[in-house]
Amino acid sequence: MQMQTTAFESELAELIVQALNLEIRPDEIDPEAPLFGEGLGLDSIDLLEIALAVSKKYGFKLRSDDADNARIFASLRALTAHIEKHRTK
Amino acid sequence: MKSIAPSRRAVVAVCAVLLYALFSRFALKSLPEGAALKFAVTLPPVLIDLALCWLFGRTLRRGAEPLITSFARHAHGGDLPPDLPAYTRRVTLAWTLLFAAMAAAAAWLAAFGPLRAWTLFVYAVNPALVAALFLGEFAWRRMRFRHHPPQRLRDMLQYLRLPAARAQPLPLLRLHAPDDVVARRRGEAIPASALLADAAALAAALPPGRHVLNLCRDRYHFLVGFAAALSARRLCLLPPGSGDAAIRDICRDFGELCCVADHDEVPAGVAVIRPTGHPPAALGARPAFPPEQPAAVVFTSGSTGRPAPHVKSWGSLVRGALALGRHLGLAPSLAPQIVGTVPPQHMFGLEATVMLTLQWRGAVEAGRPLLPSDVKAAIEAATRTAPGEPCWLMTTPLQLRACVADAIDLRGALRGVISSTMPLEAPLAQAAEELWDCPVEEIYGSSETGMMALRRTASGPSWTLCEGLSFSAEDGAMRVRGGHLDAPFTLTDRVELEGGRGFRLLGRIGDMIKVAGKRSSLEDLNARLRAVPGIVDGVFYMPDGADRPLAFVVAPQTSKASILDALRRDLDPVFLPRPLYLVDALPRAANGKITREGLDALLRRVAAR
Repeated sequence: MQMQTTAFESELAELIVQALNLEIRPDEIDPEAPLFGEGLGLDSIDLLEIALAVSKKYGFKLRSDDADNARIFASLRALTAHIEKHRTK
Repeated sequence: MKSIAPSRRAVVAVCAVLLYALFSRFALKSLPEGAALKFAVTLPPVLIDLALCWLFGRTLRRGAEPLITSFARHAHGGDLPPDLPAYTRRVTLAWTLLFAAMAAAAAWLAAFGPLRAWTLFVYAVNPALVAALFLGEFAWRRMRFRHHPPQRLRDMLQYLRLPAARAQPLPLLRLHAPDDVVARRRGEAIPASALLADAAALAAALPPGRHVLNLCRDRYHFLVGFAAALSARRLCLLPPGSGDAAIRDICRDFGELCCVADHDEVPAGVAVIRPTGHPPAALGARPAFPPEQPAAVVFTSGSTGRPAPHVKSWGSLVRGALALGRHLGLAPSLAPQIVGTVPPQHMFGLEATVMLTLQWRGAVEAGRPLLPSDVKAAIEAATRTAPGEPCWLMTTPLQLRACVADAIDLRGALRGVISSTMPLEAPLAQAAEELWDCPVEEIYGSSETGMMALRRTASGPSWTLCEGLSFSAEDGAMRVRGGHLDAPFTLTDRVELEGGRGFRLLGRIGDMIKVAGKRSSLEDLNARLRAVPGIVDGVFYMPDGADRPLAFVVAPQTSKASILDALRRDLDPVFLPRPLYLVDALPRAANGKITREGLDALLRRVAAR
């Protein structure tokens, strides 16, 4: 399960672990594994927390029910790519 | 009346006419011809008045339901507002007395009055009195029960043609015309006719079995699965959103099931069927189901995540939706637009988004907007495509807090917000009311009962018990019964009655906490925590205003990871501690008790570390 993690992915993993008080180390998050449901086991409460933290830090608001919602929240990697595309700070 | 079929009633009527003819032919022969003729002419109207007097009067006996009450029950779709029965009984009595008086007057005029007076009475005064009572009572009732949904005269006349049946099947779609919109998905309107066609097709395509596990995430797909299960007389199982283990337990406990899902996260080894895309099936009459038909099973998780089932009859779901709609001031002329952030499988989601839509000509947003910008987009889509129709947001304090924090602009778009699943703080409710200029109401309910009470949170701490429900104190706890409930329910909260239908909640019994709509007691969580190997002492703690519990653990010989692994096997994921703090000792007093103050101080200390 060794995987390459980019710097920005690590930064986001750190943000998620802190915002959600997760009991894992940021580098334990597999960037390809699903964030919600079976993978990391996050739920809709966590989704709200992540959105809040992301809007504070990167200055744009996440949306989940875009046509490609499943894609954006599919994994840490997908979420990172989405944020990099839209961030304003 | 309900025991006699229409064909038999016709036979009885023909026999009565024949008997009367025979009576006229033989019995009246002895009278002088003029008297016989007069008797033959004047008797039928008197008999008709007497028959009507008997028809109304016999329903006033003890144990029977007064005839007008039956009509009213039918008019209200099987669910009678609690302030009506006393009134409708008096109206039934009024009709009985009117017919008795008219029979007596007609008979007296026939015997002693001039034939001209009798004719005038029977053919002018008599119908005029009936019309006057009918219209006068209708007008008076609309004025007196202004808070009920208004009824049209045309509807009332229609009820007169129907027998006053008691256990009428209750329709799936009470008010929708085929072209009325029942759901919207990204601006696409889905008409009621499409729902009926999709549900019939799915019902015909279901594999054999007794249960349908409805895992659909899209609310329209959920509606299709729900309607198909009802039509196929299958019990619809509504598992709590997350937790694969919970669904596996449900599959084991309820055999003979197939799963309707619009995604691929389904339990292994269970037959899966998609909600739509099946060959068209013949459409029958408007689908309607007996009130006693078991319609859905919702689950409470408890702390272990092992789901406990609660069966809902179709009648109880319909009655609950009717009561909620009346509270919201809905009427057949309105088409409420519903946007929900709660899953339809949760009891609050089921009653406030699914059943309310079906029973009140609603149009529900198919998606489940979770983030503030999604909520805004969904509400804007609803108000754009159905301008002028009232729009409600059915949500939880968590989403409400996020929407208010983002200050999303919905002013003028919402008729109201309803929040449930966990307590809503008054300042948040106040902020939302000011931001959107609409009332924010809160439902107090449970998976077992659905809605029990309502309040406008910003207006004060008092709750108002829902119509038809009543409290009784039993063994130090409160039981609630009546109304839409299938069975009485013992509250897990302490209650202070305020007179009338008002009450306050004084906190949970046995230290219950609620996370993500799931209930558990801290005591039970603590017992499970202390049972983990290697843990010397431990306690769960839910700080004020927190969404999830954290835990303090004394475990010098073991690691966090192994403790969490053990808890993960034993607890529903929502109750896992976030975070888990390893500490040297718990702040136990001399008597062994742990106080909130002690835990607060400990939390400040470890958080500063």
